[in-house]
Amino acid sequence: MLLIDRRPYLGGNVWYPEAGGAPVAEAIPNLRRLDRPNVRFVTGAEVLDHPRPSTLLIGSGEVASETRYGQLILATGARERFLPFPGSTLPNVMGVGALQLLAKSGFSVKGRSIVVAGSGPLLLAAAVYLREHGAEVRLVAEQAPRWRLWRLAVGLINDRERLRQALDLRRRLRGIPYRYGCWVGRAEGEGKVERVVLRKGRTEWTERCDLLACGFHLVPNTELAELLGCRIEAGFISVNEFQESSIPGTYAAGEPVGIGGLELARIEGEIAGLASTEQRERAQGLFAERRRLTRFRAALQRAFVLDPRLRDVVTPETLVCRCEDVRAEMLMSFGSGREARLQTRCGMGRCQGRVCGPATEFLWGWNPRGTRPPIVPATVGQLTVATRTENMPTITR
Amino acid sequence: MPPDFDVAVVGAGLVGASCAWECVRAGLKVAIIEAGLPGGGATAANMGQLLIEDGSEAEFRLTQYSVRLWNALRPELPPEVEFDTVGSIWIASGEAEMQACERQHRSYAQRGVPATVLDGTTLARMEPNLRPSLAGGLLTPEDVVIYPPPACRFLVDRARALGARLFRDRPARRLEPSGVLLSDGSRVTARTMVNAAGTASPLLSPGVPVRPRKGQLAITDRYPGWVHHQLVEMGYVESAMSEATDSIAFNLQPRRSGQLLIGSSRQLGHDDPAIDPAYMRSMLARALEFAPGLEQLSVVRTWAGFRPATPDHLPLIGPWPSQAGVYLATGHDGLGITESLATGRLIADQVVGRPSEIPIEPYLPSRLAGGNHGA
Amino acid sequence: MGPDRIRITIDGTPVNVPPGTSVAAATLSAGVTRFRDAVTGGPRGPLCGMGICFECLVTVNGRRGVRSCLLECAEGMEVQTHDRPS
Repeated sequence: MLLIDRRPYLGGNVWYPEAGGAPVAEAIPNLRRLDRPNVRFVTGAEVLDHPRPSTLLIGSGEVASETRYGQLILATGARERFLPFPGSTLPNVMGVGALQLLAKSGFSVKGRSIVVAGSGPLLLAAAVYLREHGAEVRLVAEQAPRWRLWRLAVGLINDRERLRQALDLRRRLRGIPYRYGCWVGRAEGEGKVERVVLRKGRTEWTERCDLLACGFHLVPNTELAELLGCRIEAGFISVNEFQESSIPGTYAAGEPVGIGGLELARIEGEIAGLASTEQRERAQGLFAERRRLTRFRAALQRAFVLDPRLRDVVTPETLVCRCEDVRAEMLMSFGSGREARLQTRCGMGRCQGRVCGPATEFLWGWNPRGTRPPIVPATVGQLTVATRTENMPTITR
Repeated sequence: MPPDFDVAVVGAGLVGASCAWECVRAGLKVAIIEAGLPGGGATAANMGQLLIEDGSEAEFRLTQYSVRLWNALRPELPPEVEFDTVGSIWIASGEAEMQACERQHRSYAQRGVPATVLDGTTLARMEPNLRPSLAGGLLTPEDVVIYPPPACRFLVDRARALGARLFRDRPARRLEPSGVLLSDGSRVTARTMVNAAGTASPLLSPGVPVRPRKGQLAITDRYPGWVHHQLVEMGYVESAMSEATDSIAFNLQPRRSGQLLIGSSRQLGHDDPAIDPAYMRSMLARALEFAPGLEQLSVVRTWAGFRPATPDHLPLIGPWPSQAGVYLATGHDGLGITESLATGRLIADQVVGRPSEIPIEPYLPSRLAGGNHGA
Repeated sequence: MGPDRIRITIDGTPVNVPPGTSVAAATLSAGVTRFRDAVTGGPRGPLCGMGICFECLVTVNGRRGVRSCLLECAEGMEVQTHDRPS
């Protein structure tokens, strides 16, 4: 068995260990269980391509190698959704999970003044983490209206664990203003963010801060699944009850199947692991718990729907494609995403549309562009590694 | 009932856009019918080269004429077209190819096309990122690189400003004597029709000997100044001229953004837009043989496109005998961007009945009609 | 400073950090906010923290275009920011 992760550690983004500290407590038993001779880890590595059947091209730094597989489990997670606003490209404006990750990986936020904004359960968790590491969290601005979050909370009455978690986070956030129906109008500053203008209804006010953490919930990382040809529905990988995708032998678990949180991702991962090793009866034993957690996933989706007025913060000069510096005014005149991309090269930069894709989908309803290899920028050397191996077929002139 | 339009052009790629603009300028009432978005087909997928090719007398005349038209249009093109006279160097790996360079130089000299033979030392000095010990090359300093989609948009906008009507996201189903039947059931009536539908042209004009010749490209991150000219291996010419052989050839192009475009490949008859990994790998490996430093450079995107190829490597510009009132403007293979402007001019000439600046016979579709020519 | 700190330089300035610190975190902690310049100019710094946005690129030991949020600091590393617009 081979585990591939782009981070230097295992644990991903949720179980990310603190710099200079120990691995996350919940991660330890799992890591221990994986300490076996038939399990290999490759960290700091990413899948670049699927160059032939049952083969992945894996890249790390400047090298790459091909690996054949029998069964494949995609646990590629999710990334934050970034929406553009004036000043969103200023240094020290970053995602919500991003700032938490950077803090965990050694960026001291002690004494820093921070505004946390956007949408989703990450806001609470990140704000609490930052505060408990010495930051001055000025406020938390959640774009969802209060009634939607109350409905989510009420819906959790029967889900003790998640309700407990949510209430615990709220308690640990006491004293920090938490505003609903509130979002960033613009960020301002010289060379980096120094203040943020917030909007709530018709009111606008300015908060001084030296870090702005702003992200709007999560989008699934489905690029590898798309490259493999898995069926994607409404942006998520379609799977059957055994977490198997439309391609036999390829499974998917966690956020790429639906944004549902840690516990659901774990259960789905377990089911996929059991199903892929012909232990389907044991997998079936987990279906009930998965069903229960799936209700939470649906509730999450309903709660954090984006307010259409978030589109109104975008001005003609606002940068929408950060890689190629394409402003909103250059894009607004086109009838389709494909045409705009062709004429302006929006979405054709290094991030391969991962940032501006979800943004333009929200702003103008553009469909994301198709996936072609490499699914992460890769060097010519990495992409030709197979030609330097014996017996690899090449096309002669 | 008189038809709504004098001319209906099917296909708003660069060739169709050029036809529409030239017809409108000639005083005709023009409809442009595009299945998807203007410039979204082969126009979007290619390397954007404007070059004079002399594989044959006919090819030379057409490309030379068209390049002249491009240079005349240059001052009016918007900046997004990124019209850059970067020049090309045809690279000779060994003595045989060096002799081919010399022959080509003499041929160009006779035709008045500026070209200079470079020895190995000069080549290395001009392009330090090429591998050492290449025999030399042939520099054609007037070769141009553009970014075609904005040029296509420019011509369509110009045509519309002069009164042409654009029907977009409206695939054509059939060409009929009275006009174009669209797949939504509506009709655009016209006296004359121009089939500029590229690889789709045989669907509207059955028997047209056009087949897709698939090509794949890769573009890197920004490395400004890494190469200064377009670099092409001498073997490219043979590869392009051969109908039967699927092949790859080294082609490296600097873009205005500082990105490098790596090509090229040919697969005749293939129409699957998915990347063929073996061809992509071979193409990149071939590029490493000429420019080993590419190994560390980052590829951001790859894609595939389809050249409309004919059996004799010349486009089809003129009446299609099997369909009354239908002209073809297609089959440009790898020279569509270059030849688009001349094609538009020649089509307009024939539609209004005025003499052309170059002989039109070599490109007339009638030369290939009435048989299974390589189809 | 004991053996449990890692010494690197950022734009020539020596810095020492706990093991496990990412290059991005070390750079931010050193007070640097401008990691690189955007295509049309303008400073950029980390955005996603997880290696998908390509905003946090720096040069590490001479190698350009490294995503600093994915790389752990190692003893003697030389990090350079905004060497060139790209």
